[in-house]
Amino acid sequence: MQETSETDAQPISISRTRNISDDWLAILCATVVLVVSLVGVWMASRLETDADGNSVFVATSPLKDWIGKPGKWTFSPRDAFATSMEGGQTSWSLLTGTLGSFAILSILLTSAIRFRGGPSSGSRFFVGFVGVFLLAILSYTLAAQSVVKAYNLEYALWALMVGLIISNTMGTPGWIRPAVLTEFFIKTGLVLLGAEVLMSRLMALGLPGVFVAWVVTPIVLISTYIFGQKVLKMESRSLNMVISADMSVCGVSAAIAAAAACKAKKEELSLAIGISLSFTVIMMVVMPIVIKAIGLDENVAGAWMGGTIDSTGAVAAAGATLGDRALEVAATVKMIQNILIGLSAFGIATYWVTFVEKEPNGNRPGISEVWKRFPRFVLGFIFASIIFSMLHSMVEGGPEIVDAVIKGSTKTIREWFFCLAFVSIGLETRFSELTPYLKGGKPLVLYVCGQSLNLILTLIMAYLMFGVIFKGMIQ
Amino acid sequence: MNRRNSTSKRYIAFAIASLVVLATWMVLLPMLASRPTIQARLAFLDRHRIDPSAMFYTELEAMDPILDRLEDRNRFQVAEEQTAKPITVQLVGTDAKSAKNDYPPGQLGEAIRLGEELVNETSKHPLTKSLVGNSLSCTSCHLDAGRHPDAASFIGVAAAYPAYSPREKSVITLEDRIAHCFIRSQNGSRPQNGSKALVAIAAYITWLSEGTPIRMNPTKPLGPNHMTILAEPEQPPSVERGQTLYEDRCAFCHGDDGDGTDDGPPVWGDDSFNDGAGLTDISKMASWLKVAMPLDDTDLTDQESFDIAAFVNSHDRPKFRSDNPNNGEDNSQSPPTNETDK
Repeated sequence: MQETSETDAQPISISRTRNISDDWLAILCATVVLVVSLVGVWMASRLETDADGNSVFVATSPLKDWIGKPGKWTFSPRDAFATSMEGGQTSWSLLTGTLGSFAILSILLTSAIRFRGGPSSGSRFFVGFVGVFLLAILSYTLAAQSVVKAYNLEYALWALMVGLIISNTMGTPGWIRPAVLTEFFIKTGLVLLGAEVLMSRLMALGLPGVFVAWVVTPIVLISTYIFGQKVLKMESRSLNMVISADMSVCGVSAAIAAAAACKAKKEELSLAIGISLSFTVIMMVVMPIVIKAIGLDENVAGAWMGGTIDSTGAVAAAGATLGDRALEVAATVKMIQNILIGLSAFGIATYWVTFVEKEPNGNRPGISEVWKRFPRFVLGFIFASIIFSMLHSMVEGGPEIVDAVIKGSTKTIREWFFCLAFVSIGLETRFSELTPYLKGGKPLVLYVCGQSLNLILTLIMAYLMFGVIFKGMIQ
Repeated sequence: MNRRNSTSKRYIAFAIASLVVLATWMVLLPMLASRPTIQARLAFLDRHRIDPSAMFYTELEAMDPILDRLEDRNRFQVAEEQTAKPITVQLVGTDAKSAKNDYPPGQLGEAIRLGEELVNETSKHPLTKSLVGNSLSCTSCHLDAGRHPDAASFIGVAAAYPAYSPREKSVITLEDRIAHCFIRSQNGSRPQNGSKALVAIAAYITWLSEGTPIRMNPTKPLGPNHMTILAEPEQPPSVERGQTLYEDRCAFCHGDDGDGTDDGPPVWGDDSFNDGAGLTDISKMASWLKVAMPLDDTDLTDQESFDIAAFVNSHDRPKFRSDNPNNGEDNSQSPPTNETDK
């Protein structure tokens, strides 16, 4: 991703009227989305009296009906946009939601680009954005097929594929290029994701959950990074870090955050999520079978799967096949790991600017230099997380408001940003750029070794916590 | 010439790739989706509201009920810790029945406490384990060990006995009535009259009935706080509607296959009550559901209660074996009382 920003910077900088980095622009856009949603929900929320005479705090997002994405379909892609209701009527809410998202995003982003680069770059962006957004709709539609969904093949993969097909066959048309802004999309999406990282969810499972999710995860993250550097001698530190993060923390979402924090190349991110998704499909199917065969306790099994299977949805699917208790523990452990994204991104970014990007003379940079290099979007991400965590836990009616803000608007917008980002990555990647990374199979070896370590450590910790130490507490 | 060639080649490649994508999504995947194994998996995921392609916990619908439950549990724990002492005092003062805590001294108190333990742990306790043929305990239906004011309450029951029982067409004692639960709802065998277990449970129920004026029931073996049987709802009970409701409201604790989980007992199948139990009657089951389920949130409508009852009772369960010599209805048929377990 670093590369693209450098190559992009040259032609655009001529017409630039304001010198604003992608980071600040991303923070700006995400703040607008978060503040507008929050104010909207705030104004629409009220106290109501329910049937039993209790007063209930009701919060809904007024934007809810205008923000959406293609829905699940099985036999006909028409169902992705139209749902038949009871009584034979057809509801087009998914289509209006998709178009509404387009309207909101195109207005927001075009004004942002216009603000930075002047009217002409704004209109060129808009034209390209129509193209990128159409491809994103296509990717979502492909990802929404129910069989594809059932096997955890996330939209990131299909967005990449759609982009790759175009760039590697007929080539990415020139008019689309002004809107191929991978880094900007990813960073805006990540700041929005910050609002979903609610620290107050941390103690949901009490101490045992924290131990399984927060002790093993950093150990695996760090030890696999060292393993990749010292034993496998991987050439790219950033690829090493991205794979370590997606394997130990929580799959694609963690890979995106880690890649942005350590300025990994776009090919490295693509490769990492490709490996992670393939192994997740296998683990999601195989782990419950193994667990049934050895007859592991449901609590321990749930914690084990929650701590090891990469993707959040796959964890839930695997947990549910074992039983309701396993689902509950697995999904909650994964959620606690999800929250670890914030700390990981911060840690990785700090490590990167302090230890990896050394001065030309080999010295470590001083504090002021570290501050200067520190990726600003990570601060935006952490800041959003802190604000929303405080809202969630300290304000009366906070949980309802935060829930309505996230579920009703920002979550879907964030997903669109990631989808747009992966379409963009596909559009600017040549297959020939990917092949060097596959040589020698080091990324694969790293993943397999690291995941094995993860499986062993998490099993030990899950057994200790849920099977021995806190056994009585978790009933 | 060369350039045009390569351009057209690129467009051909694009067309081929698009065709492959189109064929996969329009033909191959729908074909896969119609296979029974895949369909079963899709239905399973739908039922649990799980989207395996969710990237973050906020994208997972199944997370909401889980978080709600965890929150409830934490709140409950905190409330319990904070108010454990004052609350008992308060409840004894205001509502002696539901928070009865004044166990008598000596052996009687011990028997009552044992009875309470047996009611809570019927299928696990060494004294009653062998008499139980499923994984239910008394408290599975008589909620809160019979202290629940509405759900098949024990409070006041002892004051109605001996009572006439139309099922047995004879006058029965409280001990008989308890024994009937063992052979029907617990799908097990009759505890011996005068046995330690039966005496203890009867002592416990009688203690919960202290203060209730004695009023023997000449028509039914029911106490003053018996359940009100609901009138038939407007629409006849529907198994299909019941199934949807069950999956939505009950399956999480009682399992998709009704075989129970750590949070709820089995409601049909080999490990549940047999077909001689009172709850196999749909209107009795519905009346009980209405006041008892879901545990903390009894918000089912009459219609919903009947629909769920119809669905639950549409499944197979063990047969009541009245021919079993141990399960004779009449006291006279039961084996002579040997005080073996004393």
